[in-house]
Amino acid sequence: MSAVVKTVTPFTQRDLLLEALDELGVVYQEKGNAIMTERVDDYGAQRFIYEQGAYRFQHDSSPWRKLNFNKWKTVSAFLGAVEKVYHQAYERLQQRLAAEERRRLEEERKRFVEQQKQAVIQRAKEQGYNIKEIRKGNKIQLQLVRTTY
Amino acid sequence: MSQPFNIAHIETSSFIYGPGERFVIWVQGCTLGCRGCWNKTMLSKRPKQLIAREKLLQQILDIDSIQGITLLGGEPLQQLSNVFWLLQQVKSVDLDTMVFTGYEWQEIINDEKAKILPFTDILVSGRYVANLRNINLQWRGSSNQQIHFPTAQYDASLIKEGNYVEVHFEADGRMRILGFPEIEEIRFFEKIGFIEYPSGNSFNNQKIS
Repeated sequence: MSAVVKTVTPFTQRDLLLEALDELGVVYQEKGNAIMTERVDDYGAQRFIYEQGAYRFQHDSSPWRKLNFNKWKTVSAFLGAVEKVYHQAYERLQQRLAAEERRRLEEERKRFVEQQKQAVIQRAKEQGYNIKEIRKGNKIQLQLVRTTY
Repeated sequence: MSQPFNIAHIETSSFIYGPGERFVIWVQGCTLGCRGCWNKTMLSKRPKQLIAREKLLQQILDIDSIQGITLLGGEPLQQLSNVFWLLQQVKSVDLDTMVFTGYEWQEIINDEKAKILPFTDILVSGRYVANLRNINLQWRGSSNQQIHFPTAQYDASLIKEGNYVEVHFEADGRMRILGFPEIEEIRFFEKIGFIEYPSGNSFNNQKIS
């Protein structure tokens, strides 16, 4: 048995995230570095919080304890919907931008991915893994192997 | 016209599910009901991605760099007709084949399922047993599971026991974590990533599919 764990696109651009939420009709309120949504679970309003270069979705980890979710019954479904519209907004933004600004945006994204990769490598080293990096076009694979016998 | 494959997930390039670089296919649907299964989102037999077997074969053949294919899931042997066909086709072009199944060896060899064996170079068999969980066994999640080499292509010298995890980064920052990570590792990815949370999986905070 083997796991397949998927993460959603990091929401690095606040304006695009808000645009996506608007487009989906999600009611929200901005409070400091947080975007509080109308979705409420046992721990209060589910929210996007800006941390280390991107917005992370904070919520009760028991998705079945939904309280007021009329649409997108699970967090997965909700984030999936936000991700899709965010992608579209990102594409539209790229088309609007001048070449130089577009490059800056892409560089910012690359830096974020690199930062994530370094965090994974650091953690893997601490856990005693041997690490091999393989690049395939603009994708990166890290193989983490810890031989035991 | 054959029924299409019901597919949960595909990785066109991975190095931890068998020898060398491989095209890896997680099929959708399994009725074996192993307690503690990590891939609960792959249990339903409802269609997820329906792909004609010829199209899937073409996707495989389009990738020059792979050494073989690996099938897991879900339960590959519950899509026996398509799996048998695909294994035959792949072997005919000198790619090697590996299958992960929850069926026990005895359930395979005394059944129609045995027809895949001449076309399966490596077979990992047996139910996942949560209280025998051991993530330090290459290609197995619990210590009761067994590795077989039905053809002459490989033998047990291939096995290098250990913990194998692969992390894929897309250009836009999405990540996929494959293999046999510790729960703590998944928690770590949750911190740096944005893991989806469907209901009904074995862990509280991530999508294991």
